[in-house]
Amino acid sequence: MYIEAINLTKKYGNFFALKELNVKFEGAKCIGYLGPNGAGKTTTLKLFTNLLNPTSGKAIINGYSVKDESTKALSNVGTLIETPGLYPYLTPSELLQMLCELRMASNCDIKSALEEVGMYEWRNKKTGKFSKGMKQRVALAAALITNPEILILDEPTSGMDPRGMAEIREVIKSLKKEKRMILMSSHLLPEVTDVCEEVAMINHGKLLLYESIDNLNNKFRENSVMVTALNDIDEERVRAIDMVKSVEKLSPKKIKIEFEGDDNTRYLLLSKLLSSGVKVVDYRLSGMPLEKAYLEMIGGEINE
Amino acid sequence: MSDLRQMIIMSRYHFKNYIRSRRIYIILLITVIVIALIVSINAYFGNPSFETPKNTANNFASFSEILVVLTALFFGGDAISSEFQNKTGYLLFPNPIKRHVIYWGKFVASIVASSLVLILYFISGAIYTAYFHGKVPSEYIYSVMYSFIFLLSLMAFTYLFSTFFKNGAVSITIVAIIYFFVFNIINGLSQVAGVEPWFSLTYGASIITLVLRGSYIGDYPHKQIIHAGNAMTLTVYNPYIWEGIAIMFVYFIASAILGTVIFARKEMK
Repeated sequence: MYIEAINLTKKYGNFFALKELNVKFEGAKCIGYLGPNGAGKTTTLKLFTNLLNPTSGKAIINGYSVKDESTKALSNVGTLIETPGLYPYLTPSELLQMLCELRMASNCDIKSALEEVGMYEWRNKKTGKFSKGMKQRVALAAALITNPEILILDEPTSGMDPRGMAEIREVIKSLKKEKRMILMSSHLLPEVTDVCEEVAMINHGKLLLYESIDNLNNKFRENSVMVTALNDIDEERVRAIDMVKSVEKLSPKKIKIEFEGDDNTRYLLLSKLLSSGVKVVDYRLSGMPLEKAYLEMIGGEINE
Repeated sequence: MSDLRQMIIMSRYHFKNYIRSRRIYIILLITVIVIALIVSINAYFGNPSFETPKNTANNFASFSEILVVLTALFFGGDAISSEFQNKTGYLLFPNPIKRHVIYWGKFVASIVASSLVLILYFISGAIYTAYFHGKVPSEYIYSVMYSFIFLLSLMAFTYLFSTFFKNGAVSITIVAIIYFFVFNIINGLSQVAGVEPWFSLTYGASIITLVLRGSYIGDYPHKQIIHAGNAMTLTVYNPYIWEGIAIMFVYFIASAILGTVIFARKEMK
């Protein structure tokens, strides 16, 4: 299974929403698609789901051009683009049944799809008065209904409350276990770090980076840790540890330590902190490598 | 084969929309009220027994044009534009289904729903005519047939405008303006200019009532020159039956092709 963009370009007047994108996502994995507002994320996903026509180039899914052979290209693809409207006269069960019939799929499991997104108890209520979050859940169920091998999700947790976001993240994680490719755009870096194995970054319609999260972690990791202790921390005692470069006191019980070295050094630092009498209750890398990469590649830009 | 199956499924669910949204009941109610008005007004102000069967049938045929316009606007006005306006296209379009299958699936549902309304109306007209005259004139059957051709052409025309716009209310309003004002202005200007308005859909559709005129089908003048004072001459044209049918079919074919092509290319921006 693969998704490929070949010189994929989308132009509105003189503005390039996407400029000669060349990228191939292949295999069962989750790819986070990142970029600021107006970077071209949704445009890319819309080109892959036959919602937009490319100005030039090709969007290809499993060897079929989305523009020229849309039914073949999209036969094994589930999509969730923006927050789709639902037909207000249908219930979630009827809506999924309709999509199932239109997809002419024999492997539909409406009950499981609705249970997975937590909407089963609403299955027989008309969707007209559903909240944005509920609509998003039903739309996600619609993407899952035929158990597709490729999922294209555009900000799937958009419009959801924190609990809903966490639930949907768990759903997406569970989907990964079933040998699927998930291409997911998001603004939320922790969400992508939590769910995905690879990340692609885009800005001004151009691909800036496509890497595994592990590689990014190595490239952009900060050699500093945040330490929270049970009691007040004696800074001088911490400074005395040999691999420590600097200590910044954030509160009496919380410090940031910069150190020199790799993961082994980080482990050693923790044991030395414990042996020097610091009662550590929380010990973690400060900052996210993905966030650092994002800020280095894109900065704080908003393109809207 | 799969396209046809998908089209039938699309039609079935679109028709369900008309039932669940109560649109079909509303227009059926309007139709019943119109039938009741025609019957009661004719009974109160005249005596259909003294009319010819054609005249009695014409009481119904004369409103059928308006009824077709109402059904086309009711069932077709927002059929395509609503997918963009309500963002349901995000759910529907990324499926393995061709756009023209969606378009024609909806179109068939709109035609079926409108036909139900027209059938109720024309059967009532036939019963009413038969009650007073013991028979239904054959010209009435032709009038019904022409009404269905008109329905096809106007529905296709309405769908074309529903494809142009992303707002259902706008597409419904534009079609209503074109039908009730633009075509009538064209017809009026053509009388002054002395040019046959063969390009006007209402001109073509006028055969729905013209067929009931005279003593045989087509027994009416194609062209009449009326002198309105010394300075003004009006030329009134009536289409030949074949001409009216041709105008309606051309509208149907042109609108259907254009609408299908535009919808296939239309983007969800």
